[in-house]
Amino acid sequence: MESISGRSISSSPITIHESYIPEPNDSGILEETGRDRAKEPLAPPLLKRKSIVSMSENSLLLSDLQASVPTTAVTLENVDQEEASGPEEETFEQGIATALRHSRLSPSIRSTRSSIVPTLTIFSDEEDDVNEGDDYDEQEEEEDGSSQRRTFGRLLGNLLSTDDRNSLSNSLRNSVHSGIDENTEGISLVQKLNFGYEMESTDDNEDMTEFFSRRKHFFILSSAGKPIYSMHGSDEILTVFSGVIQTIVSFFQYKFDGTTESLKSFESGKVKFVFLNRYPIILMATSSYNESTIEISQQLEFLYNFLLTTLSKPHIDKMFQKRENFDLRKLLGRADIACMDSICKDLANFHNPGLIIGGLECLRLRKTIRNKIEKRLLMNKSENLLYGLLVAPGGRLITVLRPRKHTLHTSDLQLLFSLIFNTNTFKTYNNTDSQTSGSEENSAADEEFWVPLCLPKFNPNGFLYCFIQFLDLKSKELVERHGINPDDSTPSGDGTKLSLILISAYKDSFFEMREVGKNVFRNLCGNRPIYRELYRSIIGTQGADGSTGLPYGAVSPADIPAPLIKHFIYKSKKHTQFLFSRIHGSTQETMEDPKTRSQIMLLYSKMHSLVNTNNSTGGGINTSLQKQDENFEVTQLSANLTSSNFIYYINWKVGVPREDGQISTDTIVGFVIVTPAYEVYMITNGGVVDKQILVNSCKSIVRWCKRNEDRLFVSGGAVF
Amino acid sequence: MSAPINTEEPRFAQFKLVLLGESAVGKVLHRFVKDSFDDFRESTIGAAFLTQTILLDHNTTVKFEIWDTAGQERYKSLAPMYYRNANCALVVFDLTKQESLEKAKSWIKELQRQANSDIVIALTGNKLDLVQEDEGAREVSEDEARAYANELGLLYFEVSAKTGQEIKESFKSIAEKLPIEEKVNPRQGRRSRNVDLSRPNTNDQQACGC
Ligand SMILES: Nc1nc2c(ncn2[C@@H]2O[C@H](COP(=O)(O)OP(=O)(O)OP(=O)(O)O)[C@@H](O)[C@H]2O)c(=O)[nH]1
Ligand SMILES: [Mg+2]
Repeated sequence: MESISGRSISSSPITIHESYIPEPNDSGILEETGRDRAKEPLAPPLLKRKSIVSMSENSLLLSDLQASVPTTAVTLENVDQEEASGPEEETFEQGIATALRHSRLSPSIRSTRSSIVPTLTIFSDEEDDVNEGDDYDEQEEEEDGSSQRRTFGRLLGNLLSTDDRNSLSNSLRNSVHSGIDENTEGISLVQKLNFGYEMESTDDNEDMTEFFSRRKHFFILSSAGKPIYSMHGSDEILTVFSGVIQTIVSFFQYKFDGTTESLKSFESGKVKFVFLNRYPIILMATSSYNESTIEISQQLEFLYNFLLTTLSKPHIDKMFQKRENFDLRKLLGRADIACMDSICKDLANFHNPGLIIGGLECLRLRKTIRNKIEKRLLMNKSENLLYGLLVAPGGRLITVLRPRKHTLHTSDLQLLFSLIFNTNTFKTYNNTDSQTSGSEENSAADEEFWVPLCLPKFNPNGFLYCFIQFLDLKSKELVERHGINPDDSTPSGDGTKLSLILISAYKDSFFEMREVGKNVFRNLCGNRPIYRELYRSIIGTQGADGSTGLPYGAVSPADIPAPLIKHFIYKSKKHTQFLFSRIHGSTQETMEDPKTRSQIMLLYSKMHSLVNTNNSTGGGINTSLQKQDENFEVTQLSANLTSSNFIYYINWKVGVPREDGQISTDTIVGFVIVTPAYEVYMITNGGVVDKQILVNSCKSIVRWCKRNEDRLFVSGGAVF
Repeated sequence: MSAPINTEEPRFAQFKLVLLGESAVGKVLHRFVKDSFDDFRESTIGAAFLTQTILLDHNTTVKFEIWDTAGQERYKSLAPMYYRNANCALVVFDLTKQESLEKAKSWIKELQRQANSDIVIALTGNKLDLVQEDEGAREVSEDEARAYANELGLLYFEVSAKTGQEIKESFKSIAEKLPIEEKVNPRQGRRSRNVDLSRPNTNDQQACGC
């Protein structure tokens, strides 16, 4: 994986797909897979356009998505800014209808600069008259030796004092100040993370009204228009829509001059339609979450890669070569459909932070312990073992074992982890009385899996074989052996299991891998410091009195300490790994609550799409107001000094349902800092936001994460 | 510790068992392995390997090493790897689905052609609970399936993974058909001889039981 080998970061571009070629940013550091910092024109919240179809030649090229590059836009309806008839009204259904209607007409193709100004520029003379008070981080400055730092620090201070300088729009000032007037400290972030988010689920419902009411859709079909998969709706609905989608896609495919291009996206009111054309497969998604086109494309890419993972590219191609009209569903079984369902569900519910932030989550461990674990992996390595991965619950990486010459790609690992941790196929039995059954019986029934998978970034043409085994850290035998007092409040079930994934290129090396696995687990469990550190990090710290505290693996903003910050994500770009904190003061239960997770990740996804889409060229501080729905209103303030340093400050007005059935308006504040080395995403409670404290907290987080880098991230892994 | 009498020496045998059958017939037979039934567990990807030990009689322990294979067509080319050295095969079909029996028959043909010649094959109809609940749900007639099994010299069972009915019995019958005498685990055998002072073991250094 590129994050683990420093070499691959500097030597080979990490691509999300052949056609996505990340370009080095100013500092020469390449973007990670999964989340290229591709720029695309942000959908204009302030302009009223009815439907916009943007086209790009040769499908998704990064350069087409860059704001500075002109793109060919096909405007389906006259861009009529006067036309105030709410675009909100136009639904999914109408959007499809619009596109269809126009697909029969000849669209007027005209080139436009994608100069849709997404935000309202407040001022751009940030170099003048800066508030000298905030010297961002001296330590930083030394490290990077960049003079950008100082200005960045000033800008940070500047940004937060812009309201004093009377240079912000009224809307922003109001929202920043509103909190100060009404003290909302009483309401916790967890309570606020309840702004009416409805969890998405998959279905095969026949009801069309139901179908059209969904906020997110995924469709997969063949280039010939044969249905393959849809997140919602019955087979009949899928069949109809496959035909429709295929018609739309193929209509736009051939230009009058004979060349081909491919439909990328269009918008219809609040609904965004995004296409991914990967002959012989077409994927389409719709979203009314205000996600950016690039984000939705990446989701489609992930889903497409899943298809490659199970079937491999040559296999798919072969089937369609034989017969254009091939029904790919013949190759997909219940398990595959179930996996696609859970991937779609995760994507729709923002449950996969790694996909949103772009990277892997890693388990916090003491460096010496991680090294010890790596030593034990190396010790047991066998001849046909290609890669080894030790992973904590939730897909948090502990370490990797890899050959010197090869790294694994983040997106391959995301696929693998998504398959193992986000589907039911590998879940262990719902054993309600696990406490009573003896350890011997448990181990007798523990399954080991042998799964042929294609890792598309590693090699799209062939299969690898994954040996997958789980070890319950909380098993009676281990707990007794190492003198631990397992507490009922600590995680249980799959939340206490280590996973070992051993990858081989040989399909008959199962028993060899099994032997390696047995020895690795024996070595890890036999070593008390290793076992206890893993227990502490995954399950909970053991107090001297035998009580169990929160798991050490989950960092709370209070541990840093970072006052005002309720939750943060720190991503180290060098490692392509990130730290996902716990919500300040939250219990284990809250952190595991899917709805809380969805809502917090929805906020991060919004912040992340700002990072992706909102860095217009040149410096400046921008602000904009977006009303997304009755419960959700965003005011954002962004500053970017150069193309690689950004600050975003977002104020969300959220409607939180109260006990008496009323909705009370509240604020949550998001704060993002992006530099060439890291990205920090923070959420504060709204209310009183003291800029000085916020800046200091932010500095503390960065400093703390840098200082603890060895504990927070895997670098290198066990290399043979 | 008292030395066992020679004729009463505890016997321990290990056999490889493979589960084959169409997807969704209910192959893993959790009832047997774990005495639990999971409705939410999804279909197998690739294959799963698990072990289960049963006590055949008061001094005979049989350990099964089980390959639970995925029924999905696309994994078919991997199947020989799983049945290659198998001592027994449980070919599972769904009593409520006629075509799953056809699939089972084709597995049986393949096994008879390619697997060990002495492989013990048990044709197993699963989801007996559904049939008992509503006889109309049955698509495979017991007489017919049983006749087919007899003709080819296979064992035949009707079981329910959900209720556990007949599961233990069927595994027992399979174990009884297996050649336990030939398979007695040498290490286990040695260990019991080690405690038998009448037959001192002189040259077996590696025999320490791990
Ligand atoms: N009523 C009833 N349902 C069962 C029984 N056994 C399995 N099922 C159900 O049948 C479905 C399929 O079971 P699986 O165990 O996944 O089937 P499988 O044969 O392993 O399928 P693959 O792994 O895809 O090859 C599940 O929904 C089970 O709950 C049974 O004895 N009675
Ligand atoms: Mg199965």
